Amino acid sequence: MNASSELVMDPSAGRLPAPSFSRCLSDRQFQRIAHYARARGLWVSLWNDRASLVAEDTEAGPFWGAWRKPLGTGVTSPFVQALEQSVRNLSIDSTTTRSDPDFIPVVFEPAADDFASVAIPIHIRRRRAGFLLAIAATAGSGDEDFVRLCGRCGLDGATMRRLRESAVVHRESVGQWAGMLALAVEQSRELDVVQGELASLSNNLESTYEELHLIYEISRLMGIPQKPTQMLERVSRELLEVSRCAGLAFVLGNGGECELSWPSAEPVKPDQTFEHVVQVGQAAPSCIDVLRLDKCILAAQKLEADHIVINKACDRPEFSWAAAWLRHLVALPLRLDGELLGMLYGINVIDGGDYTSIDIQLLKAVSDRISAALKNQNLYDDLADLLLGLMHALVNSVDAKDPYTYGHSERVAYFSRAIAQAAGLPAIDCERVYLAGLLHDVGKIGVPDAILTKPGKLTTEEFDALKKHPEIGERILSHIRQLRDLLPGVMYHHERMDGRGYPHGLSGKDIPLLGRIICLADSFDAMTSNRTYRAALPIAVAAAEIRRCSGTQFDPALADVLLKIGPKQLFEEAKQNTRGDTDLGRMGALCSVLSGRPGGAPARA
Amino acid sequence: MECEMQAKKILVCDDEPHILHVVSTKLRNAGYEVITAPDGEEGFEAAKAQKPDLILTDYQMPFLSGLELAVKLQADPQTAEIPLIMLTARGYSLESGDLKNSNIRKVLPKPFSPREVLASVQAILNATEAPVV
Repeated sequence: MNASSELVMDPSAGRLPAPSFSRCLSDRQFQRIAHYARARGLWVSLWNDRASLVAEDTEAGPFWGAWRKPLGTGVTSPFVQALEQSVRNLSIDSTTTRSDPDFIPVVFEPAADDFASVAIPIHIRRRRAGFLLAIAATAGSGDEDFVRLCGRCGLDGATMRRLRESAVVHRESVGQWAGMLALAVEQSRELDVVQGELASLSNNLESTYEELHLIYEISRLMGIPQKPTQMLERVSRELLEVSRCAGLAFVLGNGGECELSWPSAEPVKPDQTFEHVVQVGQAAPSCIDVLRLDKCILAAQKLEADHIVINKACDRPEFSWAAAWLRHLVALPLRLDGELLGMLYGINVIDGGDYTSIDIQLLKAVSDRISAALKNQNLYDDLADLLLGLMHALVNSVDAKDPYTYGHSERVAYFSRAIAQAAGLPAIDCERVYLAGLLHDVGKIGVPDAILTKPGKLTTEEFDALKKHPEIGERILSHIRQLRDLLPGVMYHHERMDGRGYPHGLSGKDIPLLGRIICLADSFDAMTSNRTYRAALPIAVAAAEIRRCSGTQFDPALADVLLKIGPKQLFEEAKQNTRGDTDLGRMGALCSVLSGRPGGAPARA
Repeated sequence: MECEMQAKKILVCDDEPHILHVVSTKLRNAGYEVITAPDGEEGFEAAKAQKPDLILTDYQMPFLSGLELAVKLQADPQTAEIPLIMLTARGYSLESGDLKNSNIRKVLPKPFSPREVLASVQAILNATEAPVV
């Protein structure tokens, strides 16, 4: 891992792209100046710092039109050559200077008396970037020079002299308009700069809008109860739309876990997947490659950095194994309060450019949200586990009062949920039915052990005491707000359809559905388990008994559901599955209670 | 735009200058001609005078709300055919009656994504364009 110690922030990365101007003056500003100059009889052209023509005033009238004709066509005329030479002289003069005057008089060699010319240096970031060259016709004494120049340029001297009459300016005014032009150029430059900044701000503002929108979308997605990996997949899809990342990958866990899950012992299939790895996007590498990447980064960085940007992965020996697909990489630790929850990787850039600080800013904003959501999820899971653990402890302590009823509550919960599912109740209600089933006999805590474990027939007094357990259970649980809508299941699981049950003697549909379901499940388990007073009945006998009592003791529709599932199959399943239903806390039963669905009470079909 | 045709004209109507700026910059960069109006009333005048191909309007605006604007445009035969996209506060939804009395084709909740705005504009304008055979 020696090589990877070089893994430091790319100095070229993380900087805003400098606003670039392909020319020293924008076309819009040049046209503005040209218009101003034209009105004063001047003809202007724009040259860059390498003395090449950038722009010229093409509407300056027939006089200037005749002179400038060959300009930029490759055909040279002595006039154009003289212009170019003047600019070249200026450029060689000094490449950079802050002491440039506002304007520099230019002696126009071939006909110095007939033309007056000035060059106005244009600066970008205090570096000379070019010249604006303004030239005017003056009524000089050197008519001969003028006519000679016309001749050499293939122009008719007489015509040009006539055209000159309307174009000519006083030599004395040259200083004036040169000053004005210099001012105009300076202002134009400032305008260009401001407009460049505005454009950059606009882009920034736009990406801020995208970011805000994305954060909203992600917050919405995070509001949906789901597994962290599901959440990450959804978030990634949104993020891919907005960011320049070509692929995204997440590795959950704090590195230590990653080490454990690294499949070093056994050979790994290239398409093997891991539960704590999520990859989205076309450019996303395989799970294995993501893990390798993660290992590389974790080993090198110790993750003190806020983020890691690698814009030229091909130059890094430690990534040579990934040379086939890895070009750009952003790594962001998902961290909350110093605790590392995982890593986010942005892999390659869709437009082939580098990652910039704007990309990082976006990813950072999202990763912060993700960290918070992951942390919340972890806390929630812990809480759910704790609560469910406490519930099981409570229930087990009831069951433990009578060795014959050991596991009874868990089996009733299991049967109840199976019946609810088969009856087509919504998933969240099925989980509530499960919890109600689990807790239905809690009230037996308040019934003397002697009665619960009495092998023979109970006396009337004893039976009356036993019959109190639904109400006792309801009272015990009524203090837990979140479980309040489960109470009907606890209270009414000994009611009968014909009204001969207890505690209230309700009949038919007056008995809450929760009570009817648990009643059926309770009886089924009671019949198929050993009791102090008898051995377990064969499943077939129990099934026959359910059929016989359908309509009098049990809701006939629910009895049908149970018989349709197959009592034998249900019994076997329950036997296998009621030992520590660990997955419940995370997404199942407790979620149904804790999510506090509006409307409260489950399933009153 | 790929082929050099007459740039489609879009009227953007919002009382918040920065939204006006972001949206019109995005649309201009995509090759559309953009005119702007700071409230519903000016928006209505601009729509009548300039006949844009599409109007993007905020819901909450002074003088004339986006919905009032949409209904007013629908009532005027000169502007009835212009499709509208409305930006609204998140969680706000238009009633079906509102949609029936106007030519609102899409409602985008704020904070909106400029990318999504452009995509919606393109989708509507491409759909209303007569197919070239």
